[in-house]
Amino acid sequence: MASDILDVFNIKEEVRVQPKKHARGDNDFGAQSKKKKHAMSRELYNLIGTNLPPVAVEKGFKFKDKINSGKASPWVWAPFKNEARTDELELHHWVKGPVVSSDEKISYNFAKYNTSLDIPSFSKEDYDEKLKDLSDDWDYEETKYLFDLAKDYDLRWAVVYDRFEHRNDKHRSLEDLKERLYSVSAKLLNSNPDGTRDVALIKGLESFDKKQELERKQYLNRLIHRAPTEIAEEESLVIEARKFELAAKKMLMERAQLLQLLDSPQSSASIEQYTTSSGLTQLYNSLMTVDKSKKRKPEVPVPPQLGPNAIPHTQQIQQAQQQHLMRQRQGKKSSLSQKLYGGKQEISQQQAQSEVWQLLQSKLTAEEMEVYGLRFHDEKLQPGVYIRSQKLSTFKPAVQAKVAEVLNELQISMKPTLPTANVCSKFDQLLQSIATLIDLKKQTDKLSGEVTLIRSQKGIE
Amino acid sequence: MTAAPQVYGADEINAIVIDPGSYQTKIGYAGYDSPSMVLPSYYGLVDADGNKRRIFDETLLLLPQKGLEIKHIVENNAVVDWEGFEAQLEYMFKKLDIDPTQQPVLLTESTMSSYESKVNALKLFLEKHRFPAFYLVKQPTTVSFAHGRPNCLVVDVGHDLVTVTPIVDGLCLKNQVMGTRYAGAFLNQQFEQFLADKKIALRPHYTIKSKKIVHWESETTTAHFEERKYDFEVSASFREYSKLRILQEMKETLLNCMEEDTEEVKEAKEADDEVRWFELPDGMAVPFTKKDRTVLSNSLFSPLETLSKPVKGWETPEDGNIVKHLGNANEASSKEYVPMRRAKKPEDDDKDKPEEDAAEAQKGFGLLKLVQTVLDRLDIDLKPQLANNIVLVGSTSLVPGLNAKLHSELSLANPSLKIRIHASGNTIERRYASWVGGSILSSLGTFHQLWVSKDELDAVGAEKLIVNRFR
Repeated sequence: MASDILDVFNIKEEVRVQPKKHARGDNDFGAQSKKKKHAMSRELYNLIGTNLPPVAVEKGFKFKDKINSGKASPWVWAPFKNEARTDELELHHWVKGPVVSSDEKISYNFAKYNTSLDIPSFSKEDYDEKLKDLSDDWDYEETKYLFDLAKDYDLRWAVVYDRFEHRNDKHRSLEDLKERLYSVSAKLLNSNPDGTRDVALIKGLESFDKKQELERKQYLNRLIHRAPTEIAEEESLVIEARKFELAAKKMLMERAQLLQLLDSPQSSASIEQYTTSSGLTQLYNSLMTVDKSKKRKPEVPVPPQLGPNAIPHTQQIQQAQQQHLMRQRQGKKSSLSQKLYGGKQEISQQQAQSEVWQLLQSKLTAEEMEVYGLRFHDEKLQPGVYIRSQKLSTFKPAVQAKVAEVLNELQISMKPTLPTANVCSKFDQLLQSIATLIDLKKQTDKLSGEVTLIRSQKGIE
Repeated sequence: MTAAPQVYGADEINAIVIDPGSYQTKIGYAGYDSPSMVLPSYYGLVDADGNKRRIFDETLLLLPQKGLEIKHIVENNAVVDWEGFEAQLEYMFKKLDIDPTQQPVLLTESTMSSYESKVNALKLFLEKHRFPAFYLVKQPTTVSFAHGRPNCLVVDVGHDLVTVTPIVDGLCLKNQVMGTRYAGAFLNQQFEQFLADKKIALRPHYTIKSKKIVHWESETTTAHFEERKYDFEVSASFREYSKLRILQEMKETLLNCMEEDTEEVKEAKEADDEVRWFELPDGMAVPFTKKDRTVLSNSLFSPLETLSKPVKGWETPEDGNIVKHLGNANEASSKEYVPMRRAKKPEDDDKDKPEEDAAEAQKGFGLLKLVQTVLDRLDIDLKPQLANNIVLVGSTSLVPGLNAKLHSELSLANPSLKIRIHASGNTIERRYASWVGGSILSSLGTFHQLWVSKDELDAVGAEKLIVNRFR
């Protein structure tokens, strides 16, 4: 342990020699680092003790990069002139590099940002000639003043309007100023002496409509002065609308997916290669891989299958009692069910293994089962849920239309209104017979048509 | 040459920036982040046996001397004593070792500064001190530069004035500026009256030799102190100036703005709990209840609801049309170029709704009302942007809770506008915002074409120059 600490605790030298050596032996790194590098002060090293230091302390690690000292580059307090200025003012700034002789003209870096807008100008003659009849409200001085202001402030209208003060006491609104400047500019550009015209620009200038502008501002004003309740309402409506949008989008997407699913792939290639059994297996395999590679939708989570032991104890007891009761009842009813089911005895015996069947048969009579719409199927059922009316016979589209016509004639709806099992089977029968009759009618029509044709050909009237 | 500069790249030319405020005058080199020297905008004039001498040092100004009078250099954001200002500048140049001929100088001014003051400044800097170049810039403009927001609404709560200035692309909309005198000095006066109502004398530090703390209980409580005597008469202006320091401390330690609350909270406020004691230089500890403090602070918002009415010097409620009352901005500035000026918007508005405005004017425009009125008068296209860029500066804006109160009340008043107040948390930036902005502005490479040189002044003449450049 740290010798200083041992000193503090008054532990004798002999005692501490041993552990210290031991510690040294253990602590290879510490010993070495101390010997070699002397990176730490003794007190600090002693405090570390047998534990390895958490961070390797290494001498020679560069905490700070040395500045790559090449030659120091000189900076000069140099005079410069700005071309953007009209006078010869010379200011000084610091420039890197050796002194450049003042004869050499270096353009000032920032002079290029000195730009101004291109606003048309006019003289008194121009004004009297072209612009006088534009408006009676404005005279030459005021127009000139407006143009100067616009130039000074680079068409920042808010500022131009703020600074616009002319001797006459007419109140000019911001729109008045804009209208005047735009209309005068348009006229000036239109009568450009050198004949070139920027049609788009002139059109743009002429399209300024003061009334519209005022209206726009009025609308904006009204928008800003809405009450908080109105704003809240609007916000909630927007949220609502977004919800609808989202729902619609989702529905569309689902529909597209469904359509894609239903859309049977168009077979373009010949089926020759699939006629043999080996070809078929190949097809099957390829289809399977395609199916697997398709991204599957996450399935509805299925609750974990629980064994009977997972049911709580009280329920287990209940179940046991019920089963016992059931067995008793079965004994009573067995004679009855034998009479009822007669020929189907065999099947029922097969099914007897099914618990559900047992349970039902033990509790319900045949009449009751019919009332509840319970049935047992002899044939194998398709997997999945379906609606009874789905199972109704369908026909070729041409026939189907005719069947529908007949049903309509008889004032029977296309689907049974109360699709119980009985009704459905009867309805199916009806459909079948209608189809047969339609077919027959078609045949007779065809035959009678042929008969009349032959008759007419042979001239028999 | 170095790489091509950015659009807003800096090009340092070591310009001097001077920002005279109504309480403090700031000076320093451009490109620095805070002024090199801050002096009170006052000076002492010692008239000893007909031998006049001026004192500018802040600490020396607090030392009583025979025949010492304290004078204002700046009042209502405008330099009133040009002689004193010049002497102060010379003092500062000497202290900072500035040779005027070596670099240009930038001076800030209020939006309402007069034509004469501009002429004075031109003459002082270009002709007398021979600076190579000079520029005058509006304080709100520099504030907008300090915050990097070309379009903003600058709310400056200073010592003499509260001003609200809309800025578009760095240019002040001068005619839409509004302001009142409900600022720092207004609070000072209230503190004085608060003490006077309690029959407590406000004795400055220099009158006290030794003291013993006494807690104020009633009007009969007297302070236990030994007075320091002087064998000369101390002037009234010196006494007033010495009081400023105590009042300043009171403002810093006692004020706290509270938002308008429900009835319950108001009742709680009525209760005289949460007393904070303030010890005056003579040892008298004065209790300030929470209610007192709140009413004092909130008087910036509701200047007519003060503890003692009326506040001396602020008897007539102000309606914020500062341009009309104080402003001489337009008088001669456009004399030649534009024959006449025309009073604008505010009057038109008065015509629109005379009764309403008259009633409002009676109320006195607090901070909220002032900002709201400026916002209302703004062009609709600018309004949302400026409401989103409200910049709060000035020393008095450092009153705790002022920012929050202004924000919440503005938001309530303008539900459809998104109100955002930008107030620097750094007190230097808040107090010296206009200087910092000037420092930024005058170190921009693109700014160097704007300096006005002596040649230009000679060629164009002061009058035209001011109309064209410093409008």
